[in-house]
Amino acid sequence: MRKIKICHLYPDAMNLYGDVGNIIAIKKRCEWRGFECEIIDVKVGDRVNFNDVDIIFMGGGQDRGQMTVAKDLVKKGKQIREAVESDMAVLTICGGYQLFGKYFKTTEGEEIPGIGIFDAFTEASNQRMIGNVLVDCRRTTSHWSNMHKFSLLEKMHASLVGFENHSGKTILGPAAYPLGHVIKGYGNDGKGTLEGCQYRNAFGTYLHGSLLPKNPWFADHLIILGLRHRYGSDFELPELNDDIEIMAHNAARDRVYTARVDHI
Amino acid sequence: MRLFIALWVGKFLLFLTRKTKKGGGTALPGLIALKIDPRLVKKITAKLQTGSILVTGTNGKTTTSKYIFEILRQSGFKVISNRSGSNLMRGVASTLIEKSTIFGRPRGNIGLFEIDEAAMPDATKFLNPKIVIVNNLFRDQLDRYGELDKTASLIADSVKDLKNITLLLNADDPLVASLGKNVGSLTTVLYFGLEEDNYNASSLASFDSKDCLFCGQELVFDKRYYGHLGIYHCSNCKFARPEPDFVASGIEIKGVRSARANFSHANDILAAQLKLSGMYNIYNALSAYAAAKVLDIDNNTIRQALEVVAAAFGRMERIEVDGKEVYIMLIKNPIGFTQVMETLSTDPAVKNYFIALNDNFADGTDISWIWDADLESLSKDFKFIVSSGIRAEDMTLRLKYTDLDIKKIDTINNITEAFEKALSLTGNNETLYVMPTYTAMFTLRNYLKDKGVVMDFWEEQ
Repeated sequence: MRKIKICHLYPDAMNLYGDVGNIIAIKKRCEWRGFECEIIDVKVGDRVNFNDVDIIFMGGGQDRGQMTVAKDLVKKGKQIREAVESDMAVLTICGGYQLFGKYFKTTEGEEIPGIGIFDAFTEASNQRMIGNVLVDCRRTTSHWSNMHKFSLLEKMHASLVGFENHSGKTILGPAAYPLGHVIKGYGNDGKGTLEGCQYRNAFGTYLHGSLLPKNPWFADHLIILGLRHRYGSDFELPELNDDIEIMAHNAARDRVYTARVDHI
Repeated sequence: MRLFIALWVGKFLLFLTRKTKKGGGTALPGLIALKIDPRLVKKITAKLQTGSILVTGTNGKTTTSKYIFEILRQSGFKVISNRSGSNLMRGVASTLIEKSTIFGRPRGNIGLFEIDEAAMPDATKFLNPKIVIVNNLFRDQLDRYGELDKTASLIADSVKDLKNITLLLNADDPLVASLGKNVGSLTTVLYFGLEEDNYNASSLASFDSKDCLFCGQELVFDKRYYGHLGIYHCSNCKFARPEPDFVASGIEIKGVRSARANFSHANDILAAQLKLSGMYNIYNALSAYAAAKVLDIDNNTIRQALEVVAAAFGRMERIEVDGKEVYIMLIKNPIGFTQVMETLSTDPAVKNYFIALNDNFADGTDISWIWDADLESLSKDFKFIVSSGIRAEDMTLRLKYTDLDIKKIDTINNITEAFEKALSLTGNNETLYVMPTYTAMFTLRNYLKDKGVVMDFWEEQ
């Protein structure tokens, strides 16, 4: 049986806002196709052999958890950077996304170092950016089109839907590519222009929701990358019935325009 | 004079909102009156002989208040209470306007207020508290409060300078228990907790607050009742679960229908048969028992009150619709949802479910939390699920990823239409379990009221 290995970084500390739904989505979509999906939960202090990992996942967390996590992540940084260079896939959300950038600058001006996978840095702000988000990802997905033999892309118009909740503003450097362009929402820096970041097979974004269940083409893209990383060649993914995923994606997309955004 | 005008205007507005039946207008009169006299609340509550009891925490505020209300009522207190729902300050102000004379004399001798966590700083300042109860702190509506730690520090700040009050804290919740470490010497801190060998959490859902608040080391749980509630200690510093002053033990959970427990304080024991089931309701009853003991109320009165209280509106409330049994269980966060599922799983009967997920402000606009709920115990033993509400599609998707048979799920956004479908699918001798989020519950309630279904009185008054 084919299998992929996911390394879930700090599930106990970085587990806000249902990010575990992303792990559930990858696991189920593997199992439904007859692939095995092994999940390794990594805590602060654990040693990991990143050469044997196909996908790294890291979610968002509370400030309290973030400091200890940041220190531990930096210790693993060199190994993770090497693995990313050898095309391991990465999905990081919110706090995880910030720490995969160069640094996070607190309101007091202190710089918490990240591991610099993304050419980006984050600054704390007093603005809380909360709400439903719709992102146009066509530019990103057109690069992937050779990998995808299934028709989800057209059905979804390559949009990402999710929910953002952050006060950090992430600024992309000159070498960085965004994940997509914000149609509705705050995005990386609150200006409502760019959302997320990507480098090789590593992705970072502010979108909770959970992200992958409602954006199954993204989940499948990560699975394809994971399989390719393990076996060195491409597999055609058996198609799944995604009627419910598409229904939820479209409902979330419509909700972006109808939800009231006033916060008392 | 200011108070007089504020009260006059407030009472007039109350009368108007009642007359025009502008639904849920409980906050507006308070809001306007507070504009006229910002000290209105303080002036009125200062005249309460026994002061006030404040109930806060993520889950169980309404049910705990209901228990305490009944205990106080049975022991002869005249209680002024804000009931459920409008637990922000303006709601409290509306209650006080209604329940005091035009000269600001309260028509009662004790206050009982359930307070939203975010309103605690104002509440402790203005409501003349004598007892403050903190039940638990779970993740809830994070898009409103920011994060759990911020909620905790908000409460910590609001209680640390209080004088001559009793702080009743849940010893089993590390985040809540830690609130007792930083209070002034004029505050009495007492803890309540469970001592129960037979019950161990099976689900890892909402096992949130696992790190020591004082040194950051991961806490060791010798026992876990549910979520992060249990018996714990830090392996690095001295922080450990405090020895509880008020204890519940000998707990039996009987499906959704009833439960029993022994409540004790030192050598004094009281056994009660509760109409409300679920481990979380044991905590509610226990904290009410603790408050009653602080007020020196006798065991007989406490037991009678605990045994008579039925579910608060939508909190495992049993009603009958078209001759069919319906249980309504509010869901608002992962731990609540998971706990409802765990309690239901103690009942072997095949079940029918109606779930309604809204994402209005009062529900929390972020519905990501449904992915944190452990719904595995839901699988297999059901006849159908009707999934409804503004975000019905998201709920259906969540259910699909627990690997249950999606052919048995209907997705219908319109709540009343969906409810009628669910009711028609429910057999005559079967039970329909209804799980709505907050605003979905109100839609449902209005529908049921129009249908002439008798609902809980607690909210009616």
